[in-house]
Amino acid sequence: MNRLDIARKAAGPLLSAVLLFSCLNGQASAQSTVREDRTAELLNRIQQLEADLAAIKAELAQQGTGVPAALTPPSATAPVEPAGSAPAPQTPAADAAVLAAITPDTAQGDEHTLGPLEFRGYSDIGFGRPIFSTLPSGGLAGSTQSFSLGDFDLFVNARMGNHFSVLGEMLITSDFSNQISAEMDRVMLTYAANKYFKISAGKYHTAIGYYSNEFYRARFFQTATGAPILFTDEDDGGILPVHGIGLTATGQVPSGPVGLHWVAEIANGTGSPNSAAEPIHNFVDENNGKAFNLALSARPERLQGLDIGGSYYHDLLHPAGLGAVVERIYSAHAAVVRPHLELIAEGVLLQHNFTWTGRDFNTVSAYAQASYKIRLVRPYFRYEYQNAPKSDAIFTTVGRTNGPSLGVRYDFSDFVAFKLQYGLLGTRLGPSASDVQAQLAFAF
Amino acid sequence: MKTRILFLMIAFAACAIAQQAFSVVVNKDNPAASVNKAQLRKMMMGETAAWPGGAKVLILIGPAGDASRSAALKEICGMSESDYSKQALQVSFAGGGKSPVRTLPSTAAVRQAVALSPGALGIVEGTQGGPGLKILPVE
Repeated sequence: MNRLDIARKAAGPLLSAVLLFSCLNGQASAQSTVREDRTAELLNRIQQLEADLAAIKAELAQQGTGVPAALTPPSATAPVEPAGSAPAPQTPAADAAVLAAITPDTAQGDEHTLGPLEFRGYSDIGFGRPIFSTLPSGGLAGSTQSFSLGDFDLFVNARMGNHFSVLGEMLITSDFSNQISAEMDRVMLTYAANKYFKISAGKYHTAIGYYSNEFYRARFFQTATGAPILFTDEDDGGILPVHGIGLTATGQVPSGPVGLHWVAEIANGTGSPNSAAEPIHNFVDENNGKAFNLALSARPERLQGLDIGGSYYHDLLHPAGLGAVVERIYSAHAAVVRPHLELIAEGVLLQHNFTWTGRDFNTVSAYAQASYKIRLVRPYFRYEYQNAPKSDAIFTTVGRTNGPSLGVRYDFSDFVAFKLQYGLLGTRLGPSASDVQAQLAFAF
Repeated sequence: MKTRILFLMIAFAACAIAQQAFSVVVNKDNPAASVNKAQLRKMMMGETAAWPGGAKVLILIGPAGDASRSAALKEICGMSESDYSKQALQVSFAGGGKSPVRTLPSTAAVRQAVALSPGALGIVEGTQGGPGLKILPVE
């Protein structure tokens, strides 16, 4: 091999290496330019985000969404420096979701803006016999295979600035008369001063017992197909003033781990069952006197789901053709409601005192309910008892009703549940009723 | 006997791993030294929106299906994801205030947000804090 051949053989790889180096060098230069542009862009973005965050921090500090004051040493309570007055804080880059999460809602920071408005709906569709709590006095003959629409429950909840909020619950409902009508179940304008004092004006569920104020009217939240007879609506012949129109105030009692809560209410009260007016006095109070209710309950923070409490309600009724009747209602309840376990027992003693004779008539109503969820299936059992004396001129058609119900609830999804229930209800004033009912309850 | 010892060791290890399924982080400037399980449960369930001293708290958690979120729901609230969504509906239906709980797209976002918000409390995976964060022991 001569020198020329060697030079030729060496030139090939050398030329290739030179070309490759040139290409790589050019590419690296191009990449370097792009990287510098990108870096500058990111730096700009970070500076912009840091400025935004400094402004948000200053706003948070002004609104109290900051380090817990009671836990903060004096040196740590200094307000956040406003944007531009100090070197930019050393914070990681934040995306829109992070900023949105830590930015206060509009209504919390602006007393002149409404919202946000939360709108929900609840309803149910049933098949079989009507639910016990919707039966008229004396029962309902036949109608064992009826499709039935439950309440169409439209619910809104909105805040109006830092302290005010409004809640509305409109029912489109029907009863055994087959007539569909609209009914305002709750309307409450609430002022919340702090966790110890909150007051609402409007129509509310009276704080008697547990069930009515835990599940309200939406059957989706209830394990069984309907409420206990104890909490039958006034216009369906229920014995309790489940609703009130007036003022209700509530709050926590500083009680540490005991978790005491108080409730005080004043309302128009209810009309007498033999009155021509609607049971709940909305526009006119028949006697101008006011009903009041006081309740106290404990929810110990270390015993999840436990609620123990009692209440006292007082009203003065003026039934047609009779003198004044003092109505006193004493209630007591104990409940453990956890995701898998539900144990509820409550009862009331309702006393009518006929002032012209001084005689008392005592009506007792109570129920106990137990359920346990196994995966998506929740079997349940309830026994209820109600007994009003025949001689009580206010409750002439109530009588005695008692019996068991048992069933199973299956949750198809987070928002659709199917229930199948059998119940047996014995009555003193009419024939006994047995009840097989299927129900689809849902939230939307 | 050996089998029993082995079983106990596996069970113990499983418990130890389960306890590390999530951590509670707060901003490094937050002077809270710890939080008890009952307080954390009330915060996560929207029953209270404030620290014991009264300052507002913001609870930040990852999306549904996130392992640390599921572990915290189970261990602190005794709930599944389904139970939790239903409970949130019920709190609102009872007229409760807006829940202090916010869901973020990832636990990385949770860490970022907690580092930026002095009153926030985040549920994240693992046992490491991160820049601007500190781990808050759950008693």
